[in-house]
Amino acid sequence: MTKRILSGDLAGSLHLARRALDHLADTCGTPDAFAEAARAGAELDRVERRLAAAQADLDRGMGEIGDAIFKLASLDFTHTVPVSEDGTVLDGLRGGVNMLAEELAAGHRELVRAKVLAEQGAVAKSEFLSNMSHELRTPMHAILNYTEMALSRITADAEIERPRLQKYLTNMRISGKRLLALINDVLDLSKLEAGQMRISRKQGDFTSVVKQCLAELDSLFKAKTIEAVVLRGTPDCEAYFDFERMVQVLENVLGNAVRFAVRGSTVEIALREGPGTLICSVYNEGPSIPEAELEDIFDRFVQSSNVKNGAGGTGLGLAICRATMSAQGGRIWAQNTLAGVTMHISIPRQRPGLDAGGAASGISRGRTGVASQGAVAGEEPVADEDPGRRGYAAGAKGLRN
Amino acid sequence: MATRIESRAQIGRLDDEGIIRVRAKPGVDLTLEDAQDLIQKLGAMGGGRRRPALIDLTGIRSISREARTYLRGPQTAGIESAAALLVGSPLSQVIGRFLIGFGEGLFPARLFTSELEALAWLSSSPG
Repeated sequence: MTKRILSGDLAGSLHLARRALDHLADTCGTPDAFAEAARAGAELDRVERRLAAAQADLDRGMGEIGDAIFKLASLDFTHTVPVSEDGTVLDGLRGGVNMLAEELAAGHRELVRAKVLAEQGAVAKSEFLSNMSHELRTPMHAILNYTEMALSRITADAEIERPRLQKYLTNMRISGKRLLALINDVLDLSKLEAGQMRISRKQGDFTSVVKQCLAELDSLFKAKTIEAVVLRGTPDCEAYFDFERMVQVLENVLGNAVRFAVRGSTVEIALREGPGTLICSVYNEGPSIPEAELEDIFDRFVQSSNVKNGAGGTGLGLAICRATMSAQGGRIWAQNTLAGVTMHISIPRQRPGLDAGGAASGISRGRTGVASQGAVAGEEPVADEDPGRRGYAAGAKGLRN
Repeated sequence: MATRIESRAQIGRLDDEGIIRVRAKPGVDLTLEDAQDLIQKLGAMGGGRRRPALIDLTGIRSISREARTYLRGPQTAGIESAAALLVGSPLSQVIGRFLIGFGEGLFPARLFTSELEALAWLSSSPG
């Protein structure tokens, strides 16, 4: 009978059952009935204690879960609720809250990362727009000013002096070229990113690229009294590349090297063997790049924080270089070395799919390797042919001759 | 080829029907290392074939997010053609639900409270 009573509701039924048993003991008064009532009463006490303990557990568990949910709402994802091995409903809730916290934490981390990237992107774009506006405005102003000057002179004197007119026109041409170069950069990057840049690779001698670049940048080197030294660590400079694009890349790298080099210092161009590649490394003495920015400088609109002030440029050059090298199956990366920076360019030795023997058969090996370059971090060391590292060409003219 | 494996957190075997059977040890907190160890051993046991798997989670206490992500990932898809997760307690049901994830998985997976139903589903699942 007692079991039937207890199988009903919990709190209310227990009191009713206790009163019923007390009444039974009082009214019946027989020893058996009294003993039965006493046993039932003791059982009820035990059940009551267990229920009270269970209620306390439930209260504590719900309190813990409530705290955990509150912390989640406060974006504190570190709080976890202890789970017992019993696997009860309460444990299920606790485990669920813990796993929910992990998922929310991961989602939150992702959101924070995306926010930081978006903010960095916004800052970079603002800087780019600012730089670009400046870069566009300056030559445009120059062109307009010289045009105005020329026009005013013509109006005033009826006939302008020839040397003065020549000077104005020369300056207008320089400014026009700067504008065109800038617009070309933007268009090149757009094409590269859209995969629409036409790359025409051929087997060729990479020293021809070096010669061409040094010839074109000769005045830049002279203006800062910087000497270009070419170091050949390999007699074989044959590679598979697009000549025009490679000139564009190396000119950009050499232009940066000269721009950031210490006046009167030396810019070294080292050619050496890489794994299946020819590596061209350009070293200049000058400000280093913060380690955290060694990759970032190849992003669009980004310049190293150590040089961005007053360095000029739009921050597109290295992004174009990286995209161009990637399109040619090569690579470009930066490294801080000694008291300066080295930019490495790796160019595939041959067209993909050709074995070494087949491709090498047509390669001229007649050149003289004179100097060798030490191993660069992350690259295989090059066997020294001449550890004395003699200068092959002192200055740009050396290689051209 | 071994037909039984045991690691810190799980025991597994390949039964006569070609079904991988894995049981999480009672009270275990499954980590990424446990998950990687399990998949590596199951891969060796399965002989490079994708097989249906019956995973008994009834005794598990917790599983880390990294382990959940890994067990839903391509490494597991490489050895399991379908996974029937056997759950019992409310806790194991919640864990099983999180383990399956909320999106489309790389392989079919379902929760079961009955082993017979789980095996019937595995035998009818593709792969």
